[in-house]
Amino acid sequence: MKHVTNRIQAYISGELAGDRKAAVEKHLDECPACRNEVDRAHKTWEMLGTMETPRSENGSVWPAVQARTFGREKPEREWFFGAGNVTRAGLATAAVAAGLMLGVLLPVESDRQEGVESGLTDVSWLVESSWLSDSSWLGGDAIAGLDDILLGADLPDEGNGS
Amino acid sequence: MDDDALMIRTAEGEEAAFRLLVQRWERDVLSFLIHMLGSIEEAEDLVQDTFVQVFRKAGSYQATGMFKSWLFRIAGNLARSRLRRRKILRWVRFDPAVHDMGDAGRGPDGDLEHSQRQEAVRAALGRLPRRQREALALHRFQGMRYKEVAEAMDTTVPGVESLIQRAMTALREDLAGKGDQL
Repeated sequence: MKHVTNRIQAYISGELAGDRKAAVEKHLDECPACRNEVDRAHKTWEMLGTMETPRSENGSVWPAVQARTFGREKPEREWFFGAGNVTRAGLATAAVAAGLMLGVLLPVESDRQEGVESGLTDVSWLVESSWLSDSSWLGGDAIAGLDDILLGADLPDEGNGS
Repeated sequence: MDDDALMIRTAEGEEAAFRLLVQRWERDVLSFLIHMLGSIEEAEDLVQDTFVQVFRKAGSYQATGMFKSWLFRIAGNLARSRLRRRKILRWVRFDPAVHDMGDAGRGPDGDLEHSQRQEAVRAALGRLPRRQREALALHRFQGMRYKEVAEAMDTTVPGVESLIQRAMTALREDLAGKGDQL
């Protein structure tokens, strides 16, 4: 007789239906051990239902959220150079420097126009073939941090109406 | 007005719609984040961040009636990021003495046994692996079906079933080891 231990919680939660539910109930009719498991699991389930959620002493987050969303005149467009933010300016400088380096390092055709097109605009080979395509070395936090910077999530609200 | 309609209006720049959405969901998001982080202050910070992300992503939201899962996916991602940032993958012990726990209708003498049990359960929840805790919090405390939890956690329904089953078993064993006969 195969016990239904791994389906007991789904059964209690009402997540089983049809044949799966019928199979569990049929087994429970015949198996005191599993019935006992259901009873114990049910008690834990009920106890979790009595857990009290702490209440915040602060009011709604709306004023703060509003200031960070609708409170900004141009939330997405003032990313660069907004209020002279040093980090942003640094990132912008780094981006320009990286662009210049790529332009120098990449092969340039004798024809100037072709050189511009192949050297400065087509950098997909670098992204696809190098560590730039593998962001795992950054780790999740670094990516999340970068995401925050790019989205401006953790940046001060200097764009807020200024 | 349902959540999808509010999201569409939010994406169109209607502040009142977004405000309604925030006020409708902020308590649930806060509760979930408290269970995830164990710190009410951090949870409050992340509630703000969650709704700022909702606002920013409103334009890409697909109105398919799964707003709750989408919202809690954002909150869960932020909680995970915060936990990693802290480099503490375990529960920060919640101190009920410094937080308002609400009035459960007990007398002034208090129910010591009740509060001790609450604290024991809270601590046991905090000892669960993060994904188990997340799945259980969404299902038990937010009332989400396995399908919704799966959406929120970017996994499958059988995956959620397994996470919650293991969470409940671990919780029961943990509490039993501390004298709670469950």
